[in-house]
Amino acid sequence: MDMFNIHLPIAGIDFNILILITIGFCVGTLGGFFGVGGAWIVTPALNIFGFNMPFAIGTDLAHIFGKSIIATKKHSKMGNVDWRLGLFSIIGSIIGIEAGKRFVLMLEASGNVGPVVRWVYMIFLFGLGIYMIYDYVGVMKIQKEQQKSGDISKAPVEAVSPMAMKLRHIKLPPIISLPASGIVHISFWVVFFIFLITGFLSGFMGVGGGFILLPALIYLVGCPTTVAVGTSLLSVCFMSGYGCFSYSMSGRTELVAAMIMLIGAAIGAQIGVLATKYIRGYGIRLLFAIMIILAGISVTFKQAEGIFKLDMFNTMAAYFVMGSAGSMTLFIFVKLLIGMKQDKD
Amino acid sequence: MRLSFGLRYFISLLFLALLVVPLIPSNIFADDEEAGGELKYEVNTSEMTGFNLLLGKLYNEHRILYSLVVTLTMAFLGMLVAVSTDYVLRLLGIRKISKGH
Repeated sequence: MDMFNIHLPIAGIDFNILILITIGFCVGTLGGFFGVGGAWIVTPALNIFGFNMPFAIGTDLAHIFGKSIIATKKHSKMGNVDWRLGLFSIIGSIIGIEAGKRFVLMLEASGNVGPVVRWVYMIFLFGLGIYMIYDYVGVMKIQKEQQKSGDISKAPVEAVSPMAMKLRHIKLPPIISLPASGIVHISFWVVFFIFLITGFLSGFMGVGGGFILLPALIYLVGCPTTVAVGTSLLSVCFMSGYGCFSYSMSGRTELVAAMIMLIGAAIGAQIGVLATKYIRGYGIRLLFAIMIILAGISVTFKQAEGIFKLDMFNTMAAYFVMGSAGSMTLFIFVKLLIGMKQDKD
Repeated sequence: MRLSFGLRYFISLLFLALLVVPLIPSNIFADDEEAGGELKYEVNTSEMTGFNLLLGKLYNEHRILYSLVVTLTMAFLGMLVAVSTDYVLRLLGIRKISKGH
């Protein structure tokens, strides 16, 4: 496999080009489908294959930046991006992220930061995942009852969550409308506060925030799932662009590796975005719930490594997250092929 | 105002997450905290030529320019791929798939 090795000038190592393309492909598919950056997959994957860790996060952010531009453009063409909402999300998130970072620094001074962040991360991953599965099961039950009573519909129509309905009743001016999301009126402050909180959590946990933003857009703002995916990607695009520049300033990006990963991500992003045409609304929510629960299990392994001081758990965490990402990518790809075949028939 | 189950669930989740904060002490995250700081490292350009040499020199001597090059290159490549794949898909007649629903 040495023939596929390429010299990475900044990191100063030789690295297999096929591994970079494959990682990019998996993250591209998941990113295009779920509207997330996917840094939590790339960093451990690069780590396992021996990529220089000081460069891993920055390189990852650089490739996510390029990939999210591709996926956002594609989603925008499909009418899945609410630009106005995306703009509010960026403003609210930036302030929230900064506040979250400062809170982490405050905790750091008291020596509590490490495991606390990881525990909060685990609670959110498992909590959101379980809630989304609970929501999915509820909808499926209603659909079954409707089918029994003769009111048969092939796929459940996405309803606005009760939480979002309640939040829309808050009439604090200015009131805005978000036509692309089908929202006639909502208080600007509600939207701003939601993004402030999600941004705070992103800054606190040190993650891109796609996995928090997507459920927030669905359950709190009340966006249709595909619009939530597209709009979340727009936000990821800005955040990763800023992250790419700032990590490059710290000397932590490897441009050649990021460019190669983008080749795989470009193909993956197309597949992920197209798959949202065939796996719609509640299907995306269910797969997202499964994915974040799997990510939560991986974080649990990492936490176990800290508690039991066994490096084995760290390796298990990385392999687990890679295996989960690979399986999910394969599933999305197969579903896309089946959908396209049915379209042709 | 009676809160819905979902809203109560989210609020409980938030409180649960905040409760954890003072409960678990220690600092095993040290490596991750250092990850964002300035890297004390210089690229060895002595055996480099062409594009690699240019990149290495930018990295060592003009960090702001290097950061701009990295960010703009990724943005440009992203846009290039987005536009060109659309064009290719249109040529292949798969445009219908990428249109709205």
